[in-house]
Amino acid sequence: MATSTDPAPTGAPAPGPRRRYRSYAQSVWWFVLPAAALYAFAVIVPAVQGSLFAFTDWDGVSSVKHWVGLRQFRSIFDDTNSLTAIKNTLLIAVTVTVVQNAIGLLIALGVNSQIKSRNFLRVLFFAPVVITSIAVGFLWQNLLAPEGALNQVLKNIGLGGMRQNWLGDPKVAIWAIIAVVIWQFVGYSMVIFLAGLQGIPDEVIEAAAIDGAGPVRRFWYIVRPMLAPAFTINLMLSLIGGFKLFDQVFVMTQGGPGGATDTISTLIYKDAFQLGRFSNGAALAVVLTLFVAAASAFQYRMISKNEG
Amino acid sequence: MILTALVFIFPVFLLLNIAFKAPGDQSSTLALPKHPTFQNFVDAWHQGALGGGLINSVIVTILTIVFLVVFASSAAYPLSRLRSRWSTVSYFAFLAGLLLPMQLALLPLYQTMRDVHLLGSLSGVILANVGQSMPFTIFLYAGFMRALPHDFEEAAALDGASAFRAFWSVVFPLMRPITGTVVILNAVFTWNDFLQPLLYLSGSGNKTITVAVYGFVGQYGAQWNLIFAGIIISIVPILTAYFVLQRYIVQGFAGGLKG
Amino acid sequence: MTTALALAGCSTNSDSGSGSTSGSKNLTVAGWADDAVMKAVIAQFEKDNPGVKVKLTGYPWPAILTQINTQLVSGTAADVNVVFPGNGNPITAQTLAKGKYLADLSSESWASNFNEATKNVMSADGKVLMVANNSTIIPATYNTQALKAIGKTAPTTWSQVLDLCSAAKAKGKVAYAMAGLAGGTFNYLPYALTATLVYGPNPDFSAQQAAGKATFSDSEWTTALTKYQQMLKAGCFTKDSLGTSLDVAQKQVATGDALGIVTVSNQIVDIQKDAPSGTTFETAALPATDDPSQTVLPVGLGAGYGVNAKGNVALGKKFLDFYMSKKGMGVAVKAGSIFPSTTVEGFKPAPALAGVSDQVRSDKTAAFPDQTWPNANLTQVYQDELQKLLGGQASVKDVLAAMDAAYKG
Repeated sequence: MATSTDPAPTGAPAPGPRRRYRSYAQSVWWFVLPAAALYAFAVIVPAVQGSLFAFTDWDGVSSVKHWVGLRQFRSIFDDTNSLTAIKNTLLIAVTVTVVQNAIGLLIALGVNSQIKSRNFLRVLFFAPVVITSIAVGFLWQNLLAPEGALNQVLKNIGLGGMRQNWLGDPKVAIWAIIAVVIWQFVGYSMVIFLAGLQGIPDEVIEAAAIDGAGPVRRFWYIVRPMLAPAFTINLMLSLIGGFKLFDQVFVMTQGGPGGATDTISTLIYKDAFQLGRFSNGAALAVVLTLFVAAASAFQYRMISKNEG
Repeated sequence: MILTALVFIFPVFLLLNIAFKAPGDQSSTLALPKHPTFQNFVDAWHQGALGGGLINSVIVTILTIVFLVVFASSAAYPLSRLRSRWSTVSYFAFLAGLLLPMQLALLPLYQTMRDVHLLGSLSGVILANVGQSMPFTIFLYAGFMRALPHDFEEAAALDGASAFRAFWSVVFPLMRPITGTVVILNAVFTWNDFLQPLLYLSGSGNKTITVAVYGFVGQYGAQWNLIFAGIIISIVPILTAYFVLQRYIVQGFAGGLKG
Repeated sequence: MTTALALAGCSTNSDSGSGSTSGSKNLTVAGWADDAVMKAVIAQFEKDNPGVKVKLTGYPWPAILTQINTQLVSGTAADVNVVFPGNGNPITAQTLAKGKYLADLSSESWASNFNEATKNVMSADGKVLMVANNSTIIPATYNTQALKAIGKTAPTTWSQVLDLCSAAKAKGKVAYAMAGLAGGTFNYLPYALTATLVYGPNPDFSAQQAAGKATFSDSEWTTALTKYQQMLKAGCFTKDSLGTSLDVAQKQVATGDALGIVTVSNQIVDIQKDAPSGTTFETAALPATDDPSQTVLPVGLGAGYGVNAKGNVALGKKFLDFYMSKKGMGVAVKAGSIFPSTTVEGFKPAPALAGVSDQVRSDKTAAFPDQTWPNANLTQVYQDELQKLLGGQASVKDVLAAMDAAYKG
């Protein structure tokens, strides 16, 4: 896959038709304008306005606010709650990215094959994506209760020793939440991988099979490179989704017990909309943005390097 | 595969189970309902006025997606094909939208909506959705367009087609699988969006289905039977859409290449 | 699309409610989703005032907090809005006072029905800014049949509480259901204990604390939390309570797996919904000492309403006057199982609340401590630390030290 981080070949002499298609794209540069206008209206302008609050002492209701410079940012790093939240956020982002995509890819490969039930399975694996996060949170709160279904099943199959207080034990709760998020969004990764798999003509794979390549070799040398765009998209989206995770945590534990499952996003929400510390929340949001930007830039470079 | 499928289906079973139980049924959430009832669905439908919500959600979702597909795919085309500094910067400016936490923008955007008199109207919700899903959609389109060979445009160019035509009649059809993905993922997101429609439509009597369903959450507890029945009602359209679309996605790319 | 019409309707209501004559007959109310009491009150108010149109928009919990706060801050709020007493979330009398969003209700006739302590949580800077027609009580609620099954009655002394715990345990049950998951009930039991140990004997505690003359750590809060911990260790509560949600805990009492629960009285209705027919419930104040005459019941003003200072103030006040009038209270009491915040003639409490209804009107009550806390963050810290106490990661001393730090802000 070509990427924008490559040294731009703009100046290099290009063969005729190639120049023509580029001038094609050039002549429709204005295609970007409507998208840019809508995006600026709904995202960029309000986000910039919102981030300005990070430099004030606004509490979310008062009619007055004062500029306080970087004070709110300093207080973030003095607060043990925010440090726990930062640690949790990193853990969630990395684990969800790796596991969700690994499972999502396996399922996509499975349901892409010619098995009979594939249509049913595709809908089944996608179903959790469709259920709203609030319902997902409540369902799993119920399943993960101390006397809930999961513990009952474990007991019945003789694994009673693995029984846990899933959401109540501060050491376990964060992993329970990660598992629920993966369950919910594996179908999401699957759909994007499936779209990528559709781009691989059957003939190519069949030809490789005739040449005697086994399934693993076929995957590694033919399927994997052609899935590159799907990989880039999936890895970026799950990483960013993991960093910004809010709904599931908020519904299941609200960051508890005792702050053990707080993420940066739950702290932002609490600060801005519950605790009357809007500017604290805004400062945290700015920090989160910088974090995600750094992590995705790093990831983007890594993927680009591997592909290039 | 079967085991994975079981793990996946279990909470869905639970959802159905709760929705079919009578409110006074004390059996555990795992046990099948003693007297399965459609009453929750009927009650949710009438008390929550889900019919109107369904129509509003359909309007919001369809319009959001049409705008997104048209504007994002066309924006992604020059962004993915051009190698100028200008296009790289624009592309990353769009990607930045993926990073921003929406809590930051919620209050300022609400006040902008107020100032341009879009509160209470579905257009405000649609506008916000289109703008907010733009980075994600452009990201999907641009990724796949980069991997698309240039041969087809070259052929179109040789035939003397205009750039505008070449994009819509050659490039866009080739994007079918990813368009299918864009449609379904954005549909899910738009359909399930809760906080914004609640905020922007409040007081107008307009409700989306998600907002209507959560009308059963009170200060000291929630009527889960009704909520889950409502959620099932609200899921059916979107799962059907996915089921129909995914066949289309499957044929899409290969068919496009051949045709 | 019909959006243009809806849009026009919305903007007239919010911007010009106070001034225009056409606005003076229209009232918008932002309330709770699915609230039968409010619907009944509005219907009667419209009937009594021909020509007046009231439009109610209901919001679900907890989104209502963000909704009403954002609307008030942005000048788009309804004329009458849900407002909580005290200072603990984004839509309380005292938080909203900072932006002067609420109209002064001090001179309304109902204001004199409340005592000074209650008036304080309804006010900021000496101005009454909200009013509620209902009280919230924190009693211990027991499943009568479950109590009988182990041959016990509702405890009236601390020793009986511990005794009930061991008796229940012997029968494979728990005495008190406890939801330790966020949004659960774990934060209410200490309010019941401190009512008897702190705020009952020393009604000035909050004032002393505000003056810097008292702290959580150097008060009977220590005793209260030690007793809480004692109950935990004695197995009084649902096992693994930190992973137990509100629904599960309520179901435990409903089905008799737990004998009782200490939580706000508004939840009794939900518990009854889950119970097999024939189950009855009773309430009593939770004792914290061995002298029954010392037991104090926590009673707080419930969530109520305030008038948007930039809205249709005249009609909003008129509506709240009706809401608090004898007639309005009568309608409310008939429509739902609320416990009225002022005396209503002929009011008969729900059978489950009969056990505490006399005490509610006596001087053996104390307000909820969080309603006088100076910032919302303290409530958050209190809950976080209490969960740590339940999980064994914090001692009583740690909890109170953290609360003292949060009190200072």
